[in-house]
Amino acid sequence: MASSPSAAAAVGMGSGGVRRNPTLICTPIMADSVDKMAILMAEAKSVGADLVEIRLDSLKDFNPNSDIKTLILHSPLPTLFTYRCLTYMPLFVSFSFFDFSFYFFLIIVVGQCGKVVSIMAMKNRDWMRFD
Amino acid sequence: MWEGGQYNGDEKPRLDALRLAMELGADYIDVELKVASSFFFETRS
Repeated sequence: MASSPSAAAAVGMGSGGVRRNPTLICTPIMADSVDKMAILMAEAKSVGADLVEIRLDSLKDFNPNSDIKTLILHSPLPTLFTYRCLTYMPLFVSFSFFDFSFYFFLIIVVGQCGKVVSIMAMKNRDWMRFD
Repeated sequence: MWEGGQYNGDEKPRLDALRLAMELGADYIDVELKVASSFFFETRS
């Protein structure tokens, strides 16, 4: 999948030219405003993308009702809406009280938007897991 | 593994936005396998 309209052009889609390969190309659209996304969507079409992946998580001050309507209305290509969470954010912390001063903690935050799913502690290079 | 993104809020508004996109006429929506089952259950009920 191309990562931007310009990358899409780099993988062989000329500006509106005919592609020999039947593979469809989807290009992600990331911007902090709907207006900027509209410009990028037009660019994606001009370089020959078949589909735009609209990354809702990149929008600042996202208003679902009005923004999604506007994006669908202004998209010159079929749309794929994606709304991705921050992902896999291991946090290394150490506790400096009681016996915990010898442990290093790894708090694994995965997937569901910041939910802590696992806490691991290491002492003498051995990991212990607390689910 | 989840794909990296920038959203850091609650899960319900995130899935509600995708559901809204579907209702408003999006051609495709991207739902992670981990939440697909609950997403479709709530969408159909």
